[in-house]
Amino acid sequence: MKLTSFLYLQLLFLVAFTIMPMPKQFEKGEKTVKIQQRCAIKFSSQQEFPDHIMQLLRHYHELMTLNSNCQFEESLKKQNLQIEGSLKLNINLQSDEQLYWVNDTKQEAYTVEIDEKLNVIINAPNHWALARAIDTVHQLTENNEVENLPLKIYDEPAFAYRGVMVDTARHFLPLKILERTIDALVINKMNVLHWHITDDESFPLLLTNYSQITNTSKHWETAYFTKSDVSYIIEYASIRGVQIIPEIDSPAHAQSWGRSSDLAEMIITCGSTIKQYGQFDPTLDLTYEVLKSVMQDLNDMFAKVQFIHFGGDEASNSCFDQRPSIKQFMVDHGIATYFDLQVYYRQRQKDIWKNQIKSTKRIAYWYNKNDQLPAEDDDIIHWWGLTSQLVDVKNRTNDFILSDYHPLYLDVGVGNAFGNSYDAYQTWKDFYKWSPSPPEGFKGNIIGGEAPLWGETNNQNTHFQKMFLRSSILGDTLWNPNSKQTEQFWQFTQRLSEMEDRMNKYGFPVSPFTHDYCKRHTKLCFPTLYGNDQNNQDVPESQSESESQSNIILQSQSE
Amino acid sequence: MIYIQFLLLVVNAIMPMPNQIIYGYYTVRISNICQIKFFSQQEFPNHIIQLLLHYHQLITYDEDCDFEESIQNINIKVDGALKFEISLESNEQLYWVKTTKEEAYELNIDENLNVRIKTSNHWGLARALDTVNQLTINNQIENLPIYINDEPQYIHRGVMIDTARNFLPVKLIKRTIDALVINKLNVLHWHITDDESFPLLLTNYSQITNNSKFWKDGYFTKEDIQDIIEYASIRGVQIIPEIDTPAHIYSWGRSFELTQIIIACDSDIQQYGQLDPTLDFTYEVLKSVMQDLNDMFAKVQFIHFGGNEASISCFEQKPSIKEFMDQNGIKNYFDLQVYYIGVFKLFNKLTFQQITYFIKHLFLYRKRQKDIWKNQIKSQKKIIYWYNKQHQLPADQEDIIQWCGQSNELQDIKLKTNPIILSDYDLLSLDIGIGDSFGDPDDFYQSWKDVYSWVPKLAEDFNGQLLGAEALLWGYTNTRNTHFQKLFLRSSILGDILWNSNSKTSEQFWQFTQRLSEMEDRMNKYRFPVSPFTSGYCKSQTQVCFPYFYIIQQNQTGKT
Repeated sequence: MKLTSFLYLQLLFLVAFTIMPMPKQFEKGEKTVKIQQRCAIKFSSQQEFPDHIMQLLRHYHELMTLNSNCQFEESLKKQNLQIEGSLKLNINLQSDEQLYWVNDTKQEAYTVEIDEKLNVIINAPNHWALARAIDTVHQLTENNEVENLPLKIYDEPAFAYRGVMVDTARHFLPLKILERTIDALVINKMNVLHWHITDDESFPLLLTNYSQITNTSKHWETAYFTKSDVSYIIEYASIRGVQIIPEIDSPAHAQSWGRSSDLAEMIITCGSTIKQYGQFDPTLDLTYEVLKSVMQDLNDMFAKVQFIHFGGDEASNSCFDQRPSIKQFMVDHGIATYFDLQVYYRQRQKDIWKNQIKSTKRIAYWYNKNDQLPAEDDDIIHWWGLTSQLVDVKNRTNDFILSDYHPLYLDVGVGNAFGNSYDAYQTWKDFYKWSPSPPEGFKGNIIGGEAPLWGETNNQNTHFQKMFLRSSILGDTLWNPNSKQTEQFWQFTQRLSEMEDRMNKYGFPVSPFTHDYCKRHTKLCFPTLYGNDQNNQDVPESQSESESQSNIILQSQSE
Repeated sequence: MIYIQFLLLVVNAIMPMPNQIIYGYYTVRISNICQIKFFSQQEFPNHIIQLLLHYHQLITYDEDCDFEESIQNINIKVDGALKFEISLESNEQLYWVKTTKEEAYELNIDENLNVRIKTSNHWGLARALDTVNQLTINNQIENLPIYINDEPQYIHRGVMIDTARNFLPVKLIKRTIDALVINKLNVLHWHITDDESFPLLLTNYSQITNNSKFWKDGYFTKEDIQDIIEYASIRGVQIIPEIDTPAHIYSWGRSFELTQIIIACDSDIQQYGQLDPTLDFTYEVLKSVMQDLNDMFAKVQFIHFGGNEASISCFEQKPSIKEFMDQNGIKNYFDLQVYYIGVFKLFNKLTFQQITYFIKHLFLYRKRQKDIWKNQIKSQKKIIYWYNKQHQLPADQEDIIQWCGQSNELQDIKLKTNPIILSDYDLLSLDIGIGDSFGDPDDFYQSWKDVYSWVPKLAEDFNGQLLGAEALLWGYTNTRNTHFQKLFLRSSILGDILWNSNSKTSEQFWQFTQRLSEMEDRMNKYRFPVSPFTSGYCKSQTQVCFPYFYIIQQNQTGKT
């Protein structure tokens, strides 16, 4: 009897710990119940479901009944609510309002209770948290049975901003891929798609007054996004609890703006053998005229987003040097250095945004150790240096998004656009080792992290392979940074292995993190925490399974 | 004038580049694409019908044309349609070819779209059809009349895939063959088994397969093998199966009754194993496996026996092995011993005695394995072994060595007269650089330009035949999700070099990248999810982005 319960405990442990990301706190029973009637799943609520929630439920209904050809409409009917052997979700939301973003981790917090009769009670503040809750229910029930019943979960992310960046300028990515990317984010409980729309290579967003920018730079006839594409993708994301952050990078990364003869003047082509890079001439009225129109379009098209990313990275002095008239302008206007010239540009850009267009959307800019213009308190600093280098911006009190180029850049290590070697590939273990912990004395507010997938050598053939499972690990870390301290390394890889299966099941062609043998023998292949190369003090080397389980429960209770 | 500069003639965009092209200036539209006809003086045998069907599908892609119509010998003179007249010296179905002449072909296309192909057999025909398919872009052919005289430089042009670390289904292997053919590559080296699994269903020892496969259907049957060999032969691709021993065999010993033939190597991860070369039982199992291999792969020319990475420390896990004395000892292995001592002393602190045992065991194993193969099973198939700087056992004259060492170690090849296949570890490994199966860093990624910089060249004193080369895609972190992305376009570049290594010295770098760009489009068109080689911008602006001449670059980087 004793032996049996011991084995049972081991099994319990395995099951509960395969959720990714790991919920913050849970209480488990010992019963396992089969889901015999998958199609009889029910969604019910005290109120009528508004349309955006219906669409979210439809999305998860598809995932939960994949290949079963179940009718979604049936699952909303109020009859047979007590049918046995089927999941019955009872949803209580504090607000029915459709949200396009959330800024407080509380807004994605939820509780889930599942009893032995498969009644699932979800309490959540809004549809974003509902998306997270249903994802947890989905992960718990994907093998046609639910273990550890009765089960209670209380969950809340550690960071409000958990994202990836895609780049549609170096290679165009069709709308369908953006949709699928959002789908992939949601099953990882990630909630931000930062969309680097334009760059030197192309400007695939159809503008109102300057459509020639789009038309002279797009990679093929239909390789651009219209206003209705943009509205569609924002809506698609919102329904699933994902916010879109559009980026139009300037004053550098802008060669594509100047391909038509009437706009050529506003771009300085940077002196390289490859006439491919360009930046704005910040001294011309034409520049600001075009900029204002583009930003007006941006504010209109992206009316339902909270942040706009203005890029602002990598303006080069030698490129400004290409145009002697700039020096004269600087003398005339008392601008001493190119740094000040960039400040001048940024002030004028901001003036257009805030005072002329009167946009209330906050602005994000790229920053790193070498690229640091003055920032206003309201600006969001998107940090692409290392987290340890935040010591250089110690006194800034801004909101920070972390995108450490090591290890969070998903594109590096496989050669650049010219086939030359380019940095070192960041493995999934490198992602695992990363933690969003700023240096001592840092005064900023870290809202979360984001893994950028620059597009020089990425197209739809390689998109999901480069993005996942590494982004899944980032999502895990940002949702619950404590989980890796309280589990053993093999337990983490077991969760990762099941995420790989899940993503394959839903048709995302992700890169395998190991081979099939190790995938099935995680305990054998991944016995120590960080491998042998790193001494980690956080975790005892050999914990018995039941011990570490009780640690989890103790820790959750003390929180 | 400027326009002409930026244009690369379609005839010059073929990949790999034909040896000789003479062309005119007419462009003719193929207005009746579905009226395509294939004609010959003799009846087409079935294997050629299958090849024609394959290229019919590629040439008329997305057009829904009826293949049966195209092999009826009526309306042979229809306007605006490709009319193939095919002359073959032999109608025999071949599973491999022995000379580059057998893949040579002559091709004439006139202004009336009469396509005349002269070649020796269906392998040469496959290459010729591929050239025609590449010339047929957007339903027209430019630069007519065209005469092409073509022949590959190397006979062995291939890739290696690994179905042991991650299982790859039959469908994917067939698609890989399809991808090889449109690159005029002709070898699929199939590393079937390894420590991690043995996904080939055996006759007498099916427990080896059943205890190591990753899922219920994760293995290949005899019928699968025949299906794949036939599929490959029709398209002019040879299959080379590899069953690696005496190392890389942990998967053989997972059933209780076979555990004893395996020495589990000591590591944190109980994942690697070597055959115990001192047990008769080992050779009993080996014989049965090799008999299966010879039967199942009756229609292949070479068998790859692996033979790499056996380790001394693993043999030493089993104390009894030290006491075993070599009764059939090889008399004269002193040279080798000296060599091994040199190598191993550098890396491991091993005694003379340890090394002696090691060599004896490896020797003995290989000798007994070969005896089984040649004298007991009586197989005629030649054997390929892996070699690198550290592992160079003596070989018989007819053994083929596959070099997986570094490019700069080519002068260290000890066997100077054996036929050789090059798979330089640094430039031709397609899997490295993105982390190993433990998520730890694993060497450097080899970019497409690295493969481009590879030259098929051996040391001056090497007198054996250079058969060709293979790019290796080990399967540690490769599944169907990443398979074509890792294989191509880098393997396309290897194919280009092996077919015609002169082309890159007679064209500018941007012209090469233009050909590569069109190969990328072609592979995408046929739904192979290949990795892009550059940005969308540079892909359409090759002259802007890739201005330098290959030779200049080579000098700058000091490579020769």
